[in-house]
Amino acid sequence: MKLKPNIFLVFILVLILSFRLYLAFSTPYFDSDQAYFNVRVIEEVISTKTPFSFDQLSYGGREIISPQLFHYIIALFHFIPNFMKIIPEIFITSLAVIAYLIAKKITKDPLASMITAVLVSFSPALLSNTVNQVSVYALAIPIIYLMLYLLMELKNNYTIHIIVVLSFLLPMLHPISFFFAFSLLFFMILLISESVKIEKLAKEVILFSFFLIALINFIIFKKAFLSYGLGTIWQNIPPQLLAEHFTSPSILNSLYLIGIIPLILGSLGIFYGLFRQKDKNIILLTSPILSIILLLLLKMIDLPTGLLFLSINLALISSISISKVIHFISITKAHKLKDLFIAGGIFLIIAIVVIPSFFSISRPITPFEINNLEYIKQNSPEDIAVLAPLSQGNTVAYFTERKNVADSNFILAKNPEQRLKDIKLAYTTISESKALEIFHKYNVKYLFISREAQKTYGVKRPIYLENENCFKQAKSTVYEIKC
Amino acid sequence: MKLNVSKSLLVLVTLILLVAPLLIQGSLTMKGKEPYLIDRLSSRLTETSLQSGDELSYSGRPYSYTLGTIAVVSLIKNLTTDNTAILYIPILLGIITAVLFYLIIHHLTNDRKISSISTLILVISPAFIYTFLFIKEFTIPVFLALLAFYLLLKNKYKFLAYILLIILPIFGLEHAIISLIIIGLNYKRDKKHHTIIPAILLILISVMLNLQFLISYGLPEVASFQDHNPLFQIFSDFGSEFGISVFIIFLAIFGLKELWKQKYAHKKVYLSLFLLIILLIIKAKFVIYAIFLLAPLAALGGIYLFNSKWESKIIKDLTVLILVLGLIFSTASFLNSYKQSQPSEEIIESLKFLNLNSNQDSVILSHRSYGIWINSIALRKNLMDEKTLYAPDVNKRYLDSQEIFTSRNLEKTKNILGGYNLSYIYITPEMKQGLVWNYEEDGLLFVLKFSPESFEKIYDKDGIEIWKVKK
Repeated sequence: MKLKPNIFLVFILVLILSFRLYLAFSTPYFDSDQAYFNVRVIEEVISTKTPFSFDQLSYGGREIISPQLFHYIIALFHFIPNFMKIIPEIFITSLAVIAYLIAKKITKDPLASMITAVLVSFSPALLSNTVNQVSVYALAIPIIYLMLYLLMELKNNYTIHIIVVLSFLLPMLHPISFFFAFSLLFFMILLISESVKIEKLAKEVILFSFFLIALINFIIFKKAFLSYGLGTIWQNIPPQLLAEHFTSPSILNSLYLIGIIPLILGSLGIFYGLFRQKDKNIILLTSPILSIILLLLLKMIDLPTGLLFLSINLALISSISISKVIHFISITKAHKLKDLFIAGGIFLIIAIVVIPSFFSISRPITPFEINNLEYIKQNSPEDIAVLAPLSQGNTVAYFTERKNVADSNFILAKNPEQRLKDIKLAYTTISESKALEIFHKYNVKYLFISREAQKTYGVKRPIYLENENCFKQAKSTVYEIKC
Repeated sequence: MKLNVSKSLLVLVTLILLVAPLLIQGSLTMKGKEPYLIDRLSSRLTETSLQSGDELSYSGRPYSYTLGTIAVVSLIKNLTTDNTAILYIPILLGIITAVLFYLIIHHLTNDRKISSISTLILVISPAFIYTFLFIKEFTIPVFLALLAFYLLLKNKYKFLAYILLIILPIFGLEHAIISLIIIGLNYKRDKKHHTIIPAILLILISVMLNLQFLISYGLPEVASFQDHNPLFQIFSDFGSEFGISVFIIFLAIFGLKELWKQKYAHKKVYLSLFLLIILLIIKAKFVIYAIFLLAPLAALGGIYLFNSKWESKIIKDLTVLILVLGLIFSTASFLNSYKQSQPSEEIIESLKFLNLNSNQDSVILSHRSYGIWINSIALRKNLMDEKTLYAPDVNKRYLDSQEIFTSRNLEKTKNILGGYNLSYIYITPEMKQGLVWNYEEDGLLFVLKFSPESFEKIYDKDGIEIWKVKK
């Protein structure tokens, strides 16, 4: 098969972007609770041109500490219809090109590199974390891997200048930049332990990136560090959620999200690249894997994020195994059937990776429930609060434009531990007075009993709602508190 | 770029940095707890005997404070004014310490550049500014230890140097350990007795000072509620009020790398660093001693980074700039937060009100973090404070105070209040915003609001409330 890599790459890009846009536009809404927080930040940026520093609706009003460069970049495209659905998908699709370049750098094999680009782009963990979610990862991940690629390709001042700019941008996008800095540190340790030499320039760039990322994060999260110290790593997450948030990965779930092919081929690639070739580029890609494993064990990174980076890195390193397999086929008697094998391989990848990816997308809220939330927006005074499960806090704030009791942004949040207990109690208690005490405490006027709430708290409808003098069913999932 | 900074310029920088927080806050009001504690105890030293203990803290407790600083401040107060003892002398000691440090590093390295940069790193560190801005527990002993080290190094007035080191245990056991390290560093095989005799005397004095407490009161009760997180307290970037910047550590690592080129020629530096790391884990306040070792290492690291040949000039310049900015960021952050540090003018005003409107033997309930100010500004007894060493029933008091704060039961609350003869309850906005309570009607706040027959609000200003317990 005579490949024209550029054309084939463009074809892959179009395929990936179409797949992502198809999923994104299959619903008028977004597919994560965090997406609605990001949407609110972007809308605020568009209307005020200033950073979103105080959220009137979250936790009844609280200070926000978060890098907002991503939101500003997305806001630049506000003249495009559906820009919040389209632009992040374009950003994350660019990862395919970067994955191709990295794989080509490692293997020098265009075909293996293209297969790798497909593997990376259709990773279930990547799709479940980025499709239709206005996720900051859509930009942060391509930048991280572009930086890794540039570190492999350090040749001239031009490359250095790009790394300098990206090192500056990354911490202003997302605190995941800390993970990148940590990976670079791990890379240096691995190089020393494996006695592999790298260019002096690469060392200098790594040193620079590490210090710059640390400094910018210290500046952005100064207030959080002053409040929680090193506890900032755990983001002020309430203890009752901490175990769930930083849970150890189950084998089945990990296999599903990483994908069986990247896991097997990636592991073989690590073995070959690290122990046989002692290639610094493989070490560079392996160091994030080792740092993720360490961070997961130390419970310093949450499981979805850990699996996300694990899956991308394993898929990238899979390129070595894929290249070896292609090479093996071409030197055997079956080389005449090479095209058939490759086509079969791609089909297998589609069957094992792409299909689960399609099903990895979950819809956290139904259009019917959103319709119910919009009723609250139209029929209630502005200063009231709506009680909803923590996992829907941002969604509720967005659609109702009313205060929530709690959401998943815990840094500098007011007493999240107590609020979480109260939310649980409001859904599970049989005592009307206890429930009313909680509703009065937070000025809650509406209770949202979504499918998610029923699943989380194991109740269809709290018993106290039977008292029609105090509680009125305004919509099928919304109860008004009248007492 | 000319890196040398003259001594007079360093003196000026030190002075500016020590005065800057005062200019930022626009007053000479003391911040923190230590200056208030030392101020009160030094004023009362001449009036009361040590055997009678401290009648205000924990409503009466043994005198378990280290006497050195209190005695020196008391003496200065008698000779001059209160402000001189509490504010001017520490600033002066800070400047002399910076100069002494410069001279020590210059003596050791014979390099003006290293000496100047080391001193600059030292004086811009939050730990240094914290120690020499208003009198602190460590202000005088740190200066004395450095002076003794300098005299020993210069081989001048060695007798005086040993005297200074031997009296350091009076300022606290921590300083005795540092004193022992300094004597150890001065060990010479041909003059063993120069080390052994002072060391023995030092240990004897330390044992004597601490033994009398052990004999009288036994082993102290360990406060089970106090957090011990050294990393949190060592680094100013992680929220410590007296810590150092993580960027000093980054630079010091390069400094160590540079030193290691001469392998074991600097054994004493490695040994001192090792000991200081252990001491830092035990008590974060050792950070002020650690900075005297880390600053020259960081300077060495900075110079190494600056002088070494880099492949990319832009990366080199930017890296050095980031490290410098990192150091400055910690200082700027410290100076910025100093203005907001407690006690605020509002707290001082309310405690003065309490002083004027309560009986001298009144006992005040508040969060333990306000205990020292209740003693020192209101001059009234507290239920408990943060000085837990040899405090009476420290854990029981903590549990009882928690019970009062969280209970909504009036009878239970009144019983515990009566048990400690508590007559006033002092509540601040911080206590209502997470330090003790989270909601308007949490625990005691509910009891106070709905029990007018038992409590009377006598002060309500700027969110600070003082409630009188009706007997």
